[in-house]
Amino acid sequence: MTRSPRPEGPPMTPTDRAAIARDTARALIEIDAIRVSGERPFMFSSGLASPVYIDCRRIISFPDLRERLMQHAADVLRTEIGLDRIDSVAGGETAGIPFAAWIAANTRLPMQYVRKRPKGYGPMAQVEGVIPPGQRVLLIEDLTTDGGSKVRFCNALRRAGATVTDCLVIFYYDIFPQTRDMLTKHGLRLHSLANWQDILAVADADGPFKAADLAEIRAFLHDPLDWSARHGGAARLTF
Amino acid sequence: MSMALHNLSGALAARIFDDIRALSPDTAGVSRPAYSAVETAVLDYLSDIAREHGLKVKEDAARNRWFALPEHAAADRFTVIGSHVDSVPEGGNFDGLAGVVAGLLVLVGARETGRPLREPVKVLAMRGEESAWFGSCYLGSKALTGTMTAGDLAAPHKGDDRPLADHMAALGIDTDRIARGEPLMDLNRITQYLELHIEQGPLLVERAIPAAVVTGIRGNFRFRNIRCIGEGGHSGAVPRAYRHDPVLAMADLLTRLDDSWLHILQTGGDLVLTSGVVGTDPTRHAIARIADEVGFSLDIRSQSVEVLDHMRAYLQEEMAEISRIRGVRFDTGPEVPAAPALMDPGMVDGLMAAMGRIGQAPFSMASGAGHDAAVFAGAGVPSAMVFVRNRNGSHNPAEAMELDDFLVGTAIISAYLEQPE
Repeated sequence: MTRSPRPEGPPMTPTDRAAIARDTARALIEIDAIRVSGERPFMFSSGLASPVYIDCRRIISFPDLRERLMQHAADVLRTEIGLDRIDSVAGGETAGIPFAAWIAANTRLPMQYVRKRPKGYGPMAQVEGVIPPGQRVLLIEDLTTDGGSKVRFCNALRRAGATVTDCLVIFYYDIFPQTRDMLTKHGLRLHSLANWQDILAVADADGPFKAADLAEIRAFLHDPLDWSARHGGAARLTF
Repeated sequence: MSMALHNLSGALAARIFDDIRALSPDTAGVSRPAYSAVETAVLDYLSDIAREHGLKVKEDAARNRWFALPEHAAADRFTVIGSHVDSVPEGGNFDGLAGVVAGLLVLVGARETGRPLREPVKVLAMRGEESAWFGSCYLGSKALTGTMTAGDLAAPHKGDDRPLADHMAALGIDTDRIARGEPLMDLNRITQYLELHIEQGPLLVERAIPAAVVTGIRGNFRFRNIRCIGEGGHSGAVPRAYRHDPVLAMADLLTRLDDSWLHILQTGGDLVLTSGVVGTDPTRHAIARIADEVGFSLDIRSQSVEVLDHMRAYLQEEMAEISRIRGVRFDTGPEVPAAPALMDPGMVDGLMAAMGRIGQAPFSMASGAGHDAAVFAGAGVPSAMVFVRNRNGSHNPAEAMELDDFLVGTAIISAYLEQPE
């Protein structure tokens, strides 16, 4: 599915959007970006235990597939966010940076990157690159589970003088009802190429998970905090 | 739980816990130093209780105490229910002691209610399990199994700096035999080793489960005092480029370890690491002086030998890198290792079944902390453990085990050892 970036203007149809989600889900499966835990669950930095782990960083090593996904990202940017509403893209350290760079190259937008922690002091301590005051910056990230780190990145960009209203990720878990509310409260809209439902829709048709693994993944997605607590992880989210 | 399901005396357990707490007070909590007179007093008290309930008492060559039913005292082969009676300074009353009391309750229950055990059982109350006193752990079980090292015997006491061998000799223990690596008992006589312990993490409290069967024990490697040596100087006068600051070098190392720890957890590995003792020399340090040296402990644990091996290599590489870029050097001193231990699968199954028989949903978990059971398992004795729910962790006065939960844990062991009906 190779397409040239669509011009600005006509909104994306639901069919186009579903095709992007399906293609992204297939791509992640194809490059083994969806890792199923063995003996022990994965422990996220939030303390959450999970039977699956999505490694979007693998995308950078597959040029054709990478180009396709970056086209999808540019399409979403143009039609769902609007190129006229964005002046720049910023990558989150570390995994967001290469994706932001490719999107910036494809759209000819300026780019910055934002650090996990400030280096030094002052408004720009957490941001590299140039931000003219009030510049409308789109945060680019590889993935979000509960949305917590996106808020920290956006606040760092805002401290540096940017206006931030949107965040685009390749993959969004979309399993915590709290996340949307929390992002709204912080004035953020989240856009993603694919989420877990898209993976499951593709996985049901084409594999690649063992039945037992798929059952475990479904149990986790159905009630992630309960699954986490039962496997020695955190029983609640702290943003 | 219904009292009809077991034959254990909660009142006796409560009395022992209260009396021993009173025997070993500290400014907060209790203190029962390894190979001390307080530890001996606790063993003497337990011996009195045992005799009072018709049990036989013996002391072994490592000055641990053994309790048995009269008909089992001379048995050739037997099950051991063991644990330790020492504690850390300002420690909790249940860490270690609960396992000994559980054993006594099983024996007293069998004797007083006539529910026979399926094979002879001996209860072993050991000394010196905690590393707080000599920097080295499982001393009582290592002495028995012939696995104590020269480093253990030479380890200085944190209070008087005299080596462990001196403290043992003062109790009349023949340390020459221990130094030769000679087991102080015939381990072939032990058919299986069982240990009850309070859980030292939050899992059972979080999951609202009173007790659990343990599947494995994390191994560890430790350094008691890694010295990072740099160059002292005036805090205002020496520019950054000319500094060899050991404190920042240590902080750099700990940050690198922390980053790797998170990565290992995120990719499904098992690891915990701690630097619990950190300091510059108070006779030389000052607020306006770049320290010339800092010392810190390091305790790295995992259920996986592979992860431990990787971390061991990673630590050396990062210390070499930091030495190079910061112009310091690290002197780790001797490594104190303890291998991970897997519990015996047959015993784990048997204990899980026993848990069902006393009306509890069977539940198993890994142990984050080390125990004497790991030493027995390492010496080839089939071993297993039961954990009891406990609030606030251990090694502190706030540890809180409910008596009812303790009785559930003990009943699992008791049901496992009783004759099937």
